[in-house]
Amino acid sequence: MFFRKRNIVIGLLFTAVVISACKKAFNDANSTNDSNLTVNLYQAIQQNNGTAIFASLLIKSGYATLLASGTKSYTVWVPTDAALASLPSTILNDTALLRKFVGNHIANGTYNAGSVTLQRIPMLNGKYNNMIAGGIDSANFTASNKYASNGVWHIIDKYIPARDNCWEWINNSTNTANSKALLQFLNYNFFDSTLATQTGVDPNTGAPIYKAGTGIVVKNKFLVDGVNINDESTEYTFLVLDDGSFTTEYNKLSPWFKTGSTDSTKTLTGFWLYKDLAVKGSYAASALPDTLLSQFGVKVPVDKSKITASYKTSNGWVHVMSQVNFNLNYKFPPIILEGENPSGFAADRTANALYRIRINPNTGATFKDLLMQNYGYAGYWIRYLAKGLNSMRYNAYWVSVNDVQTTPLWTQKLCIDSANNPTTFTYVTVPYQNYNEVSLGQFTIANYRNVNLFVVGANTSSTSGGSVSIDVDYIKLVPAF
Amino acid sequence: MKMIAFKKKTVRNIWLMAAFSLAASSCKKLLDKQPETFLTTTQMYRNVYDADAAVIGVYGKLMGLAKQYIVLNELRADLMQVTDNADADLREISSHTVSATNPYANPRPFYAVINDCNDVLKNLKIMVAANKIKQAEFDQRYSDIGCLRSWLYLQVGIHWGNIPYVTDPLETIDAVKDASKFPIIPFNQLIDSLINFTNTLPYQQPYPMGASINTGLMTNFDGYSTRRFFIDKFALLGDLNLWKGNYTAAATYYRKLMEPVNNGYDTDNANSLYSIGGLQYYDQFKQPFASVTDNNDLCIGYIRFKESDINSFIDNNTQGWRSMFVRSQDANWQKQWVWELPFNNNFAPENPFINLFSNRGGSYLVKPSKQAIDNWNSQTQTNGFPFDGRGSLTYRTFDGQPVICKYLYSYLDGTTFLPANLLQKNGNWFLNRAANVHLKFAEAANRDGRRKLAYGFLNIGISGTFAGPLGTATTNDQTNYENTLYESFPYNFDARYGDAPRFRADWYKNTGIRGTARLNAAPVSGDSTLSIENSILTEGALELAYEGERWPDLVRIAIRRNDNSIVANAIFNKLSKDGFANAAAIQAKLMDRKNWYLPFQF
Repeated sequence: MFFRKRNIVIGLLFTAVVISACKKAFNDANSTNDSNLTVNLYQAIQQNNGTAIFASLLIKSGYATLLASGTKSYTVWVPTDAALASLPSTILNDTALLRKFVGNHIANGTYNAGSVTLQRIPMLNGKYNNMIAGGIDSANFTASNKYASNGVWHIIDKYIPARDNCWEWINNSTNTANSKALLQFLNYNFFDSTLATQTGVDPNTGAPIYKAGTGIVVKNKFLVDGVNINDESTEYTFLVLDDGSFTTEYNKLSPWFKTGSTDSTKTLTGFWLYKDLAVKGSYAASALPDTLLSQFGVKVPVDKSKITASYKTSNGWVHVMSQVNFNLNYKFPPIILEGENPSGFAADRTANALYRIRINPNTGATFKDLLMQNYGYAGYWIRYLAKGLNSMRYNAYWVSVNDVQTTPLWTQKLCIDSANNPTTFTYVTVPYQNYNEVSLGQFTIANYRNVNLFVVGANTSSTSGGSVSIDVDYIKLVPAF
Repeated sequence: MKMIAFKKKTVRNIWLMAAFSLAASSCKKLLDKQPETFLTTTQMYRNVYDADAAVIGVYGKLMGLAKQYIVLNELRADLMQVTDNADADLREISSHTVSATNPYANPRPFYAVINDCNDVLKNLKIMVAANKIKQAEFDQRYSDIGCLRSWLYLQVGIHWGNIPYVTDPLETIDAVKDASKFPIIPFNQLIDSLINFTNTLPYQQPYPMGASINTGLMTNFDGYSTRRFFIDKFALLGDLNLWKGNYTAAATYYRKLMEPVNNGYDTDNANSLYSIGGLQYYDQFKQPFASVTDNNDLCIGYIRFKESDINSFIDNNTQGWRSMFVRSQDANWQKQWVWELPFNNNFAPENPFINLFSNRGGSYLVKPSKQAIDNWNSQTQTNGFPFDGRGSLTYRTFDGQPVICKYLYSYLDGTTFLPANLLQKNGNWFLNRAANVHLKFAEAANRDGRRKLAYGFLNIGISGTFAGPLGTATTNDQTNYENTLYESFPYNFDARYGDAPRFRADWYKNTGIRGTARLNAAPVSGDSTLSIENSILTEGALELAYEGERWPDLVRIAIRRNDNSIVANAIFNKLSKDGFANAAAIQAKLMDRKNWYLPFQF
């Protein structure tokens, strides 16, 4: 502290010497004579020649007061009077619609035009619009980067319609009734405790008690587990099946989703059908590739001649299709259960479980597996959970690697549903250094459900020598249809 | 350490005063009094305590070179790459397109410390002539600072090539530029001068200790022991002779270091640890085999009986290979470290490595190159795992970015890898350790015709390499195996390990560099000398990455073989794998040896 204080003193002395010794260093330079900065955005738009209609709409929608305030800065894209001449009267005569429309031209913060990269800008009405160097949405700039005291504004040659997004589009559509009904069928009620009203505390458990009927929000399985096409900030391409093609594709899938109730089957089939039909990225009909890859890795064939109508939405494109001919092999890819991700064991044998990293000497690729040896438990099993197996036949394979001993070789078997299930597969000897898939046979699942698979070791107990072992690189279930 | 902080503040005050006097003189004279807080030379060097303070002060100055040292020795080589955050200066260093104004290419900071060494050396001579210190005290301190100066010159020579060799203290550093007084000498001549000077230094062992460590310069302060604070003279003499090509001499010096109990190290010996046959005796500087039952060692390891389980990989701050970079200065630490300088938030200078390496609380300026990562991923462990465990511990992926972690373990939490305290930038400057000495010994022995011995030091240790037909089992009679006693010093090693008859020879625990890393032995193919030398060079990249050895290793071996492509190809591999478009042009440029050296711009 002693040093620091002295440094400050020396520093002050130094500054004093410099200032007193030299001439006046600074002129007053904090005044401005830029006339643009004497008016706010609303005044600038109102006073500009050729944008009077939009200025009147600002008044009518109530946004004028916002743009006249000086506390925050905004960006306004102002359609010319000529552009607004064609604005439908339905919008002009509906206050809510008008506010949504005007709000589609105003953003928080300042966005200057001229950036080469595409900017997706959030608007005051909750929509997003894409701005590129020459314009925004489908409009072009006739003047840009004009500024006022509280932001910038650009003049555009077309207005930006406040469109529905992809999800709103399907909910408002009138000509794809089957798809609309199905997607709405996927709605469910969700309890969100942060939105509920708490009325007390359970004296026994301490858990909160909520007022009945509060905190319920409607969610949609397609949006939550599939693709959230209700998200304005991201752009999607959404293929919607017309009524005829919906029935075709639905009937193609529904046999693989047999359950105890028709509603469950409908939910599962509908979700499975639609989960691959929305992909990220905005593709106009002309720009669509012949195959889209969904976020679930499923190839979606796109035959452009089957597009019956295309609609631009606020977050992408909707294409109504008269046919999407899914290949079932793509729709139901093989299920792979990795050996190193078990869901359970017959008993705790952590000390005998070896999670290994290996190189396949034939391919040079690395793989992980789970090897258990000398665990001293007859009929020991490792359990794997296969989620959502369809009501169909599966061919089962595994890769089980014995790279540790030429003798003795061990045996293991795969069982479905129970480690004691006698009707499934028999014991298989794991040969030395076989890195290939071994076919185990076929099994049938009657109803769509989660299935436990068990890899079961020899029915003897041993704690040495490796004669009783289990190794799983992976189990593969290939749909046989 | 307090002393260093004091000096730095003093320096800062000098600058303030200088600025003040300039300002004052331009206007009006305000002060005409001389400052009272400075010592003249005659006041400075009065007794042995002043001499000790001067020695410590030089090491304090040396720590200011840490960042430049790592940047030059690693970023110029093939294991380190710049990140997107790096400035133009670092990018120039990495891609060998250095402009004259690049601060990392300025040798002035090195010459500043060299000049301090010269000043201390001169005054030590005056002191001993005036009987202010005893002859023995003079010998120890003079040799220490003399060695440090030789080490600094070796660094300057490696990076700048032809340099002025100045051994007198200068009033101003700029006098170095005076070519009439200090002619520029080539690197070969520099090495000769350094060997001549360093060989004649009167004292080659570490500073002596009595029954306890608190004797003279060997002491504890600010929570650190100074055991490994000072340069190791055997190691430096080994290095100088290795550069020169005096392989037997180099091996001799390394051998002395590798047998520390016999050569004056750690003579405090509080509980007989270090006496012959004591616990440290078989371990210290000898790359001993792992302690498989408890993993209290410095090896790559797994929990016992679960050696094939990736989840049992030893990865913490108290066990295994990683722990050497973070553990306290305990017995295990002393087995490995030869020279290490600590950074601590309690004293200056500040640790520069957090800012350089960390993406958590630092600027993340450099990262491991793809080449370095490929080196580790092309190794196979004895359990079949297809990667080098040292790679997983040398760099880690934080927030999607590969981060060099060797220097960060003292700063980051041991499990969450978040900074424990953003302001406590503790760490170390890793300067030399036993694994480096073993690789250098192997390099010398290999060139001196002891290829099998070099192979043993590199791979599986002496006993495994010289095992009899029945193997290394202790039940076998090992009388005639597991040793090279038919050789003469420095190649006569006894690593016998047997129970009938019983042997626990000096080197019985030695298990080789790759042995401690649980890697399979590096195969020998073609010309065995060249093949083993290549493997030693690669092993340095795996074991010693980012510890400042890489560029000197590449240059030394390239010069020895008169094969410039060793340097050029290494840099090409780094740049091309990391996507630099002009990699081939740089490769062509580095085929000319004069382009290996930085512009000598003061």
